[in-house]
Amino acid sequence: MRLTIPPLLAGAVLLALAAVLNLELASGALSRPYDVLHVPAGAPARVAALGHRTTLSDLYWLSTVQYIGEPRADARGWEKLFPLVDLVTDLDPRHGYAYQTAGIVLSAAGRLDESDRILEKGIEKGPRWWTFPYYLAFNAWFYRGDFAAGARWAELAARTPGASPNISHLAVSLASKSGTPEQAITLLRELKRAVHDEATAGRLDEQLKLAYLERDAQALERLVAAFRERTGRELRDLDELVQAGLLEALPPDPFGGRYVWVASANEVQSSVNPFRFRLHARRHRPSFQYQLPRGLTDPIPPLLRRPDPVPEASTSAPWTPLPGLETPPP
Amino acid sequence: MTKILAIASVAIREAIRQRLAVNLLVFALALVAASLTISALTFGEQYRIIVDLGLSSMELFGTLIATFLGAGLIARDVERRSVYPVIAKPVSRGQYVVGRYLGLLATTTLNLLVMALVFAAVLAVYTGGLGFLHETPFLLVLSAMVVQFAMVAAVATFFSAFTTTTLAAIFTLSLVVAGHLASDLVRYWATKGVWAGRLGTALYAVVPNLEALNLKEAMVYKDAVAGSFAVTGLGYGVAYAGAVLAFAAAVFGRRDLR
Repeated sequence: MRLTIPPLLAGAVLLALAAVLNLELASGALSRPYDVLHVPAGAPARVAALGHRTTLSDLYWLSTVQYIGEPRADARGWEKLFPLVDLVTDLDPRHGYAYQTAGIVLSAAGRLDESDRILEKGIEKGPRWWTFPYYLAFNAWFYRGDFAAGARWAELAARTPGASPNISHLAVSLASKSGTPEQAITLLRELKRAVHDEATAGRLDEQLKLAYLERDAQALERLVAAFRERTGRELRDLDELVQAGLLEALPPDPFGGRYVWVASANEVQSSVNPFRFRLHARRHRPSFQYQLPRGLTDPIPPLLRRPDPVPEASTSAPWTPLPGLETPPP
Repeated sequence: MTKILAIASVAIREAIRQRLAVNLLVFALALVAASLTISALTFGEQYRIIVDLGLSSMELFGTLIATFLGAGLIARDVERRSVYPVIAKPVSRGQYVVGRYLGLLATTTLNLLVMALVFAAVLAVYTGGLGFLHETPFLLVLSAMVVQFAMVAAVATFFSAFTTTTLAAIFTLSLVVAGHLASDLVRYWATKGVWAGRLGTALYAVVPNLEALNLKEAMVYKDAVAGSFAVTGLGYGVAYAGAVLAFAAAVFGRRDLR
């Protein structure tokens, strides 16, 4: 009995020491946002999986889920999301949900080119999901102002089995360069029905807010024009619309700020988010950001700078109306 | 036949007594059951995580059981000299090898059935019924695994017939890896010239093509498996295992046991 007590005590002391050190290590790791240090290339990973490709794909997918769900993701950045999902879909090209989730999250993070690439890969190698071209249409139209490309993708989405009839209407509308914010809202709501997780739905909600913002701003600008016509003078403040009886009350800003009239830009803006739909040439980042930059006290002036509008969007490919939808629906 | 069955039953009893196989089985069962919990970490497609982890665990641990039990199947008997009283009786060396192999095959199949029962229970809990038995090629996937383990066991028995337990295990695991890489390597070698392509094709024919029996993806995506698979896929595996076993009997027949 005496012989067993000293080793037991020593074991207990060493275990306690190890636990303290381990907790110290864990606190260091937990203080940083979840990140992935290295993402292997798809081709060697396929070989190294030794017949367990879908399982390896799932393990990297679980890592991707944590990467997306990290609460401090915006501070960390999204550099590894595309390589991770590229690897997941190299290992298992039929993993449809991976394409869809990455397409939405990358777009919401402002990484439009990567969003397009993963969605196009989904169309080429993945299952036939209408959501891939549908979201490509949204990227092209809403963020890039490229009606022609948006119409092409919307047409492809409409032709994919299981697609909603609303998509055909959107395709026709985009082809005639008359996409409206209401259609963007419908499009995003359609996509939200195809999403089964909160993280991706949250990203779609962020983009829905942009569509609401655009819808409200356009409606307010129409009222500003009516105000000018009625009074023969320029509007100083949006509250004047209420005072003139043109509006019961100003709609709430979906981003938590307030709508303001910016006379120099001749448009309505949110006080906390500079996004407005623009027609412009292809560029990597969309002309918006979700949060008010830190330390900004005057919400308007720096956010109002916008790229010069390009009068005509891309006309690279001719538009062919969908069979049976040669004329736009009423 | 009676002699072969008697030797097989001894091999089964030996395998059950070995703690290694039991430990591997317990670990595999724990992993299969844990797939239900692990799948909760994802969003979207939980079913695929359960199926992938479950089937991979079954295949991985089944292969390890076949390898380690097979590696010691004959080599351990020779090292312990327990083979002498058997071959001193009117039992041919071929019958001895086949009997031992059949015992091993029964053990790996029994292990697989236990794992499959737990896997089916997990799937039934997740899907809320046994509908997956009709919607997926579940039984065909299990049959393919039985044949895969039969091939691995035959390879392990072959090496066990002329070398030590450790070396037989190493050689078998190497061939299992080669078997999964074969289809990739033959394509790669074909791009390196005519002779490299021929050599690659020759090696492809020799190593066990375990990828041919990999139906995990069909189970994940609920794909229908062609009826011809029962002849080509399973038939290939049975023929390969039989051929390797015949070589094992031939090698052991000529082995000098003095």
